[in-house]
Amino acid sequence: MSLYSVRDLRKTYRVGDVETHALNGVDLDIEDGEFTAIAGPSGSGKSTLLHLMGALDRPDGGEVQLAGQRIDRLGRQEAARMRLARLGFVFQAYNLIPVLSAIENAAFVLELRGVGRVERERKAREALAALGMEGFEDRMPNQLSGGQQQRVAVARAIAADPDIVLADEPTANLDSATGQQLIDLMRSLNQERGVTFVFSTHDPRLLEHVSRIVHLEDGRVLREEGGPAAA
Amino acid sequence: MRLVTYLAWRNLWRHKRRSFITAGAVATVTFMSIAYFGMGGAAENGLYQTLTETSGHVQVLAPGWDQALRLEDALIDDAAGVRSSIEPVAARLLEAPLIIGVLEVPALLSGEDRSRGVALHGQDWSDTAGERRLGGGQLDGRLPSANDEIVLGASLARALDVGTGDEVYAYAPGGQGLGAAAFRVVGIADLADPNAEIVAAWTTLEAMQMLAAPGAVQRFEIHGTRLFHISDDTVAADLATELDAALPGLLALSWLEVSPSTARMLRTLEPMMYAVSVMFFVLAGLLVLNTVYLSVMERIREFGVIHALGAGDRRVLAMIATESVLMCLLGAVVGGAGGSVFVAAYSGGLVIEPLIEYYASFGMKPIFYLSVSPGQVGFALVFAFVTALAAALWPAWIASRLEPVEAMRFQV
Amino acid sequence: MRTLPGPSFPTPSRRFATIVAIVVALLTGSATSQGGAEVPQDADAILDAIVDNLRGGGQRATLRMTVERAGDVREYLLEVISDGADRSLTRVIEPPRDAGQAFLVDGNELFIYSPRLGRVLRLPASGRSDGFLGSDLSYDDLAGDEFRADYQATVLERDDAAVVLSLIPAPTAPTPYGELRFRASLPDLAPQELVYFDQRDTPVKRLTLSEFREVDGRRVPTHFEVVDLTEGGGRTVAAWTEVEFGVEPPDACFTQIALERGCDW
Repeated sequence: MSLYSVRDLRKTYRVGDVETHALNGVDLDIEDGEFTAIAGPSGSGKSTLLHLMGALDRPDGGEVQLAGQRIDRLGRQEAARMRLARLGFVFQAYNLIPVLSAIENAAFVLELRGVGRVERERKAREALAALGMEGFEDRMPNQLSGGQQQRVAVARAIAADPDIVLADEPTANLDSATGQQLIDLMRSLNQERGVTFVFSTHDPRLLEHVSRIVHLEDGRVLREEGGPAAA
Repeated sequence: MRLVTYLAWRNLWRHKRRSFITAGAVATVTFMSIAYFGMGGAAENGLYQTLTETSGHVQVLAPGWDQALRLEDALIDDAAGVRSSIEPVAARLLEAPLIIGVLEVPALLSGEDRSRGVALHGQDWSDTAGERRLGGGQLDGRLPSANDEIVLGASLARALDVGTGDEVYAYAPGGQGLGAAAFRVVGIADLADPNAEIVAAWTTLEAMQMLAAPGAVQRFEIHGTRLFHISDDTVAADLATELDAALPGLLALSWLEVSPSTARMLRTLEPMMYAVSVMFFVLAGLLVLNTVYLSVMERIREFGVIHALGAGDRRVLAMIATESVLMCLLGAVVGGAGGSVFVAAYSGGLVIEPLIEYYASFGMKPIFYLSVSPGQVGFALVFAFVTALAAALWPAWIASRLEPVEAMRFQV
Repeated sequence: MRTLPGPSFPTPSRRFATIVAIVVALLTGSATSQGGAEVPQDADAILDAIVDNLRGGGQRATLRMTVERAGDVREYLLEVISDGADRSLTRVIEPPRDAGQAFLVDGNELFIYSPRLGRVLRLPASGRSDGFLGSDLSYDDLAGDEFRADYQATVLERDDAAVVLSLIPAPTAPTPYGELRFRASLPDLAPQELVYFDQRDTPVKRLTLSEFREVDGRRVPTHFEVVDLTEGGGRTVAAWTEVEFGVEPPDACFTQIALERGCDW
């Protein structure tokens, strides 16, 4: 059974009189342990797809299944509970809580879950180290560079041992070198720890070492490259 | 909860000036509320003291006293006997009680060529009775000590065109006494209340008894000379109840029962103070609302992420509510402490110069002995808490119901 | 029937009506009262006629006054000398305790003499409605209420036997009453009953007049009963004994000396 199963997913946005068809029937399967990129120009529906996969929004048609359970029709509270328990997120910007230090941010999801202080700190510290951020634990977000902030965001996501990390254009605000660095870090996490990553990007240069790429255009899957378990 | 609390605390420090100003507003309002309660307490005590000074804490009266048209309709005939029944009871319940028998006789009072209808007031003048009747007014001369001596209010003396040493004549026919008497003016009283001054004609009880009703009084006033605070007053009600039982055929009323309109006015004082305090807090609450709303709007994207991570609506609401509560309680504690210090400092008496004349026209001394009850301080603190919650309600609700995706895309 | 230039056409003033009535009386040589065969329609004129009957003209009389209170009855004997207009002298003869007190009415002024004080006191206007010697009769009743000056009269009811006037006090009148109702019999306009109402239209006092005597064409009451209509109120009864009508007391009787010493006449 796939980790993620997306069938005929549709989503339309209405702003005033204007209708935007963001997704027009997307089918997708993600297996456990994958490192997959969703690529496409802006407006192709990448973010929408990730949001729907993360139960941050509801589709207008089709379904999303996570480990066999439908997550596209959950109520607000249920969806939040599910996200907290099983998903990790990295967003394009504003990931970190400004009043918390790097280690506190990294531990945030664990704290939301009610994990005890000692264990929480241990996991957060270890996650930060995996992202090369030892020594930066007590820095506040405004004392970190953009790239460092995103690394803390990834640390937060993995510290909580999620089923999958969904990263929506995590490199969009970074320069290409830093962005590449981030993707490489994510890939090594995937390889060393088996963390499943799905991230979106419109920058083709980042796709060089990505094993599976799903190309989206106009809300549909154009084509796929590579496949599950492609090394 | 710990997370919510320390997040709230840190967020307050994020915008120090704003938080301080808002907390400061709550502090100010709390201070003002307590100061206001203090003044209200002072007014109550002042009113209490003024009223009981001139009328005593308990009065013994004949039935029908409030409807009697003629002097003889409501007299206590065996004054001496009734007094001896009152004395032991009063001595037991009150510290240093003063028992004053009063007989007021409507009469024509005449100077050399001018006359006026007055109610001649006869009473015992021993001890502090004179001081209490004067109630803070001035006496030029002395109080009557013999049955042919009289003290007149300054404006009455002017109306009759007499001064100290002059003779005045009282004519009160139709009673049981002599019906006429002559007096020598031994004192002129300058009373704070002009309405009392124009009818003030004070003489001895015996003189009045001889004039119109031998051996009788209209009432006994029992003064508790050591009762200063209205909170001490329960003993007056007890005394009234006991005397009522001990004196069949007569009425014993506490000062509140004698003057129900005053009782009503006093009863409205406290609710009014609370109402004003609530108004203060509502105004402060508007400022708090503004501050919290602003801080929520500034952080919408942040809240979007927090929702996305799965924090849950209730927790987000709690975050904002806690911020508001912490900010307001801080202000309330500071303001409450300040207010309490202020009241304590002036519990010995605060004089407000411009109010002196205004208060004197009611016969009241314009010295405020501030006092608050712990309950009132508690109310102020609790209401600050309530304000904090109420003000945060709407912004917190908004934040808790944000859609993560839209929130993260929010453009300020 | 004589034709009188009476109510058939407007009579604007009291004086005119009086003059006419006097002329008629002289012409006809009869001593009929102003009430005569034709009763005036005008309220003021009616009031004057009633008051005229009440006063009875110059007189010297002894008045026995009984004051009743709850459980207490007092009797006074008074001597009254009046010029029938606006002056009178009243002296207390009995009981000995109150004897020597005297009251002088001179126009608008009222003086009191108290032998115990040995002084004459002037009663201010505000005191005129007080009870005289503690009775239900007021000083005003004694002096003669200034009905015309202080009150506005209108006819309230009227039939063949009686007329009732409503008297409303002028705003400046020194009286605590809200209304007076004066009933007189017809056609002689002899005063029968006067009820006093307070400001809340509650009757507080009733004066009943009876035992009329004919004097110079007037019907003069010699028995007065005043009842205090308030709760627990008492009653005062005054009756003339030994009355001389039609006398003309000298001016010396209406002085302050006469107050103290009486007047020998």
